Amino acid sequence: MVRELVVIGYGMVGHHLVSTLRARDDGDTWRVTVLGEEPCHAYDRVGLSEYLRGRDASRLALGDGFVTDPMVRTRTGTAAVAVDRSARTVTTASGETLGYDALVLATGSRPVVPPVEGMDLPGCFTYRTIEDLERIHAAARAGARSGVVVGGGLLGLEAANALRVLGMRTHVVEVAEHLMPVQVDSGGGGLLNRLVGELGVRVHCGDAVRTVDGHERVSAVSLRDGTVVGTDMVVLAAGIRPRGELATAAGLEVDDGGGVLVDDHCRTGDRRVWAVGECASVEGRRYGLLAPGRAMAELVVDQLLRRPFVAFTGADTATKLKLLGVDVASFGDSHAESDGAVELARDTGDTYAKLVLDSEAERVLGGVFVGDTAPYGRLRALLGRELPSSPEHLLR
Amino acid sequence: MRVLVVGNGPVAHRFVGALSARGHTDITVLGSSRGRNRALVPEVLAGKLSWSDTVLPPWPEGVRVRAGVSVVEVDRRRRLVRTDCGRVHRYDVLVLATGMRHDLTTVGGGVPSALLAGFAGGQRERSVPAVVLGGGVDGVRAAVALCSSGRRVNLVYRQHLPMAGRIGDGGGRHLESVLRERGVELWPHREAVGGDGRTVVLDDGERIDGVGLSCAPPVPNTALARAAGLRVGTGVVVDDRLRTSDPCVYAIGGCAEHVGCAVGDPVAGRRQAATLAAWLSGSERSYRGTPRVSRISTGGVDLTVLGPDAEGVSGEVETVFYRDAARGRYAELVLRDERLVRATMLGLPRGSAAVTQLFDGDRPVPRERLALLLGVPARGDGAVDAHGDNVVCDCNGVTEGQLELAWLEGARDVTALASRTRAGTGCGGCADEVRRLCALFTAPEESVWSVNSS
Repeated sequence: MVRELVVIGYGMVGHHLVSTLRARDDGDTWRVTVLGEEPCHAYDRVGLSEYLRGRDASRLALGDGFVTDPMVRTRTGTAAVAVDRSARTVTTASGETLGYDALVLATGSRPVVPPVEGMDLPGCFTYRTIEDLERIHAAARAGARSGVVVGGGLLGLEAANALRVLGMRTHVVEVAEHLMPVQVDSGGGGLLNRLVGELGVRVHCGDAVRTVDGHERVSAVSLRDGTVVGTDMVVLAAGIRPRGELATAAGLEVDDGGGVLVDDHCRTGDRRVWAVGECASVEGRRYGLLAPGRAMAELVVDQLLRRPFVAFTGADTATKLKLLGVDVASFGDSHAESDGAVELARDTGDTYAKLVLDSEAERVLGGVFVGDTAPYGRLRALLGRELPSSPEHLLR
Repeated sequence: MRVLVVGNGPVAHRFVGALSARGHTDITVLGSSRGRNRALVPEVLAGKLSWSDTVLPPWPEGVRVRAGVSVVEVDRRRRLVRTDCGRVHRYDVLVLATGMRHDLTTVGGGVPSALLAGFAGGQRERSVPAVVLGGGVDGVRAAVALCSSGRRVNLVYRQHLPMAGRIGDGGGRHLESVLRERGVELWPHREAVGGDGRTVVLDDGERIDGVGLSCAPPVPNTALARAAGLRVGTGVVVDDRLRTSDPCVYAIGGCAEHVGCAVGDPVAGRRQAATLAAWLSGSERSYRGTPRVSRISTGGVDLTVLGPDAEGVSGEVETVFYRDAARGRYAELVLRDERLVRATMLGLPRGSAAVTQLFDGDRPVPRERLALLLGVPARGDGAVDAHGDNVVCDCNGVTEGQLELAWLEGARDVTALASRTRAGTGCGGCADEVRRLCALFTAPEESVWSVNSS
């Protein structure tokens, strides 16, 4: 007997869940309906800044939208507005009602909009969807010459890259003392700031936007330290907030930030309802990277198919990328927050490498690399394991 | 040769001892103070030694020593000096070892020696808190020493972190938490403006209960040299022979200024004393300067700083950091071409000793820096990494990297390596190379420990 699965959210994690389910459901035991708010099929949000190079949405599309799969119905441009857990139904914005045997919330997050005066002026953009990028591109075509990105984390640097691709003079404002404060430590952060600065991006760290100024549209941004930056646009990349409203309205528990509380199986308090990806708060912790979201999706699929699975153990937060032309990589406990952790770092002026070890300096707990990420591969493979040789040998 | 020494501190004592040992018989020492070893003051502050224990050991037999005598004038033309009691002493060679002005003074009056006697006093005196003024190495050392004697200690300094100029922010932050953990109360961004022996008043109006102890950097005593017309900068300027601008007058220790070392470095003073004694005895040995070393080794705090200040380094360098916050350990090694330019080490006594030897001898630092700092044997993966892909055994296609891996996994001689990797089991032509590599893989474990020659 075929059962009905409804997935609310058609982003990267929602897509991964459906495609994994279809790949593993040999007996076609589940029929899937995916509800996506955006007008298009799921796409690679991580590669969004590259969209501006050719503006070809099909290049970013994930899979074929399940068009040839009779067991999957994708409903793009369809927002879910309510969940009735006793009737086991989902209601859409157009008034349609869908019944479910199992429900997965993969609603993702929305960008944080700092409560700053002027954030609602024309010329302020969020940075999350293809539509956002289309608006930014239109503004650049209409004459915008410079842009200020609010937020110097992973997303902020991607947005800065997008503005650079558009040929704009780019500023990044970040509250922490250095860029990418989550993945990179202060030693590597100094170098990262310098390397990004050398690319022509003006970096304002240890600072924040006080007001966005302008009459009918953005004309400048005033920073807390008094600097006024003349600009044509403001791009928000200052953080994300989970979209747990549907869960709250349906009587499910959420954490302080609005993330849907789940256990390490990604189960909510209702045994028919799961949550995965950025909207999920696994035992109180939320994850903004793709890898943990995908791990959560796979573990839900295995439960739906009654296959053996491994509970969510806390993410692989390893990151390796070339941002704005700068090689950066980080894994494990990059800030040496574990009890008794020791750190060994090497700074050559152009590269920075740091290894975090346990208190006996024998076991690898984490690492940070800026400027040269060659040692990352072999060190990441050693996470939690004993060093097979000297750290210097591994960091070469 | 009549040798006349002005000053009777530890550097003068070392010099006279070395000179006398080389057979000189006509030596006169004129010193204004009692003759104490100031380097022992931290032990007095820590309550481990009494003030009388700091008096220098006896002078060699046959040396004429006059303590409590001040030299008031040097007449270089006639080659004589005049003392405050009117006596005249002639010389062939004059050695100035007048040292530095008191680096410990109280705020609000009090003679230093009486103060120090008070500081080293019994339980009642120890209940009086100390307020140490100055965040350089002398202030930090005094604070740590006083703290270890059970006294309540405050440390007041102008910068944002203790010893910030010498060891930078990274080292300064670690030192700050080590001091806090020892119970030293820290007052950054402040200086003292007054005091009365029971309270110290700071520039922001704050008042701290306790006796103030000023540890500003000491100043060389150069008045005599200046009055005699010798060249004086911060200290009495000397060349590689430790000669002043007058070929018959030399200067050593805290009062001397040589281009190769920081003024007042106690380690330098002792080296200079030994070098001059040798030179005056006909040796060709010249003084090339002593790389700067700052040490605190008291009250459970072990800090070694080698080389110039943190800001004094420029150019292409490689910096290695080690941090173990839980154990209060920190190290920063700045290297150029594998050699130390400067180093800061906190809480790593074994590593500090090994690194200091490498620094003194200007020797290259082994690749296993972590092992060096922790004072443990290296893991033995040697310097062959760059050649990891070199094929050693063509017959079996065995690379250096594979041999190294086999060695790490326990194949410790040529036979074991051959059995593990098949290297050398073809034509046998690589046998010598395998043997050489095997020795090389083994050697690093010894090299870390064979640095004790000096």
